[in-house]
Amino acid sequence: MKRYLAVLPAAAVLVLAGCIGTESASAPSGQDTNSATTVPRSPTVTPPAAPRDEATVLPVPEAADASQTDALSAAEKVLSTFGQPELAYDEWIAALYPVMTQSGAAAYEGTDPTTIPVRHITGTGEIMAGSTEVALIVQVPTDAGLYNVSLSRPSATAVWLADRIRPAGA
Amino acid sequence: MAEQKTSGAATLIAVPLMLLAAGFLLIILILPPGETAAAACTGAATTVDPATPPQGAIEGYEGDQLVNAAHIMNAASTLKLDRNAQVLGVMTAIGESSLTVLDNGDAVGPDSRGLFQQRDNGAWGTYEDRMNPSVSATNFFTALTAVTGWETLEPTLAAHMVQGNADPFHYERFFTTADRIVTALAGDGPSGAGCASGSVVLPLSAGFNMTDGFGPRISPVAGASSWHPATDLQHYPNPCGDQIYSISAGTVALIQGYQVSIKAADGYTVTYMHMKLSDVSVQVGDPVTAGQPIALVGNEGPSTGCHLDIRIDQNGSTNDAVTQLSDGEDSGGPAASRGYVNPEEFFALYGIELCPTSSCQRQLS
Repeated sequence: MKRYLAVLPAAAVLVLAGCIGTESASAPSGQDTNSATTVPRSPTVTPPAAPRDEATVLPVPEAADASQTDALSAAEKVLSTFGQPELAYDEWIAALYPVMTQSGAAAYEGTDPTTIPVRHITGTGEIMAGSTEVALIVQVPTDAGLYNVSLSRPSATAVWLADRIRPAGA
Repeated sequence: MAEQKTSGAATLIAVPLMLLAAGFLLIILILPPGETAAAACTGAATTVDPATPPQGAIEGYEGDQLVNAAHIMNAASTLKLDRNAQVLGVMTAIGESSLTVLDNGDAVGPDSRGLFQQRDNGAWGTYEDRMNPSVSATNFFTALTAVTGWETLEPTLAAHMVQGNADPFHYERFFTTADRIVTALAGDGPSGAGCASGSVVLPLSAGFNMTDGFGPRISPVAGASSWHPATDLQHYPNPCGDQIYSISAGTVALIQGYQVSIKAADGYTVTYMHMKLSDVSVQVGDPVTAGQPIALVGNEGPSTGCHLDIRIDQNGSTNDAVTQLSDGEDSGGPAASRGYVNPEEFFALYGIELCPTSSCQRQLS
């Protein structure tokens, strides 16, 4: 019983994420639109002329060199904290909390550390294409293969925290 | 039984107060008054006869694998659970055993057995129980329903709370396959577009129309670009000011001009265009969830009417399914379309039809 009570607060956050997701997308503003198929198509509405759209996307600037350097060390710290299967759960998750985002930590609360195959980092990390000042992915070689660490932060001056720690190709 | 993880080793500790407080803050900030958490995508669970599996393969699964899926579905319906639970169970068993009753474990769990790879720690019954499709599925669902809020967690995270995997997101890529298997065995249809996987949702409320598709324009106007690396969506009449939702979880990476770009945790970037900056309700650096309101539909920039232009750039994706979608350049588009994938194909990866004929008119130019 104790263990599920402990899960509750973080689960509540995810519950919200989940329910807002499905609710909002299907039935915002209190409209009764339980599914796409129930939405009436008014026969009186004549389709307007399709709007013309000649927009091009502004590219998101890559993370600056200093930000990338910080991200590399953050990702290595995340992976070496994550890859401690010898720790008891309490100790493992307590070490992980400071290096994870809120939603990231909530996801890993379900993990049994004894199932983690990573024990140590075996090389230098690499910033993946499409980096930004507030979100990027670092690929780090480990004794269990390449791992992708998704990092994010609220501003260009904040500390990088991890959202996901996943084996490459998973 | 219900309180035990597959691992048995994990004992969760009290979550820091910070998380608790943040959780309540979220409730206050984003749950509109009167909105309930009732899921819109639930359907009744169907009971399936395991003696008569479909002929041939479904998504590469056949024979005994489909019989095992039927046992999982029936375990859910016996417990009075809904169709989403059936999909969740089949998804988990695909991720653990490819729907095969395995008489072996793996490196990190050598004592794991059966469809759900349940450990020999007393939590999952006898060896015979763990090797029995019905009993092991029943024990899985019993543990699942003890997870607080399991119905509204992302399915992969709900499964993970029971299974205790190293990777909480391991089951996500099996969701669409599981949904198709359940649909085929039950002989019914999925219960609603836009809420299939929970990890990806529609950008506007259902019932919108598509006013321009991805690819070459049928009748380009002189001087206008003839290749559109995006999809244009709008409700009509009155498309202006319509709420736009983030289609997936990520971090807001750029807000400039009339665009919002959100980088997903999987690395791809989704850009929403033509909004007024004053109608954008997020800031750069904000974490967003799938379905979170981010802005209102507008007519800013080179546009001749209110609509949402949504485009998805696979550059930087660590999600193989997204990376493997063909991009604009593969489809004969100009260099500027490199990396941009067809949003309809992107949504299809998550079991969602972006523009179903029942609710969405295609009025392509």
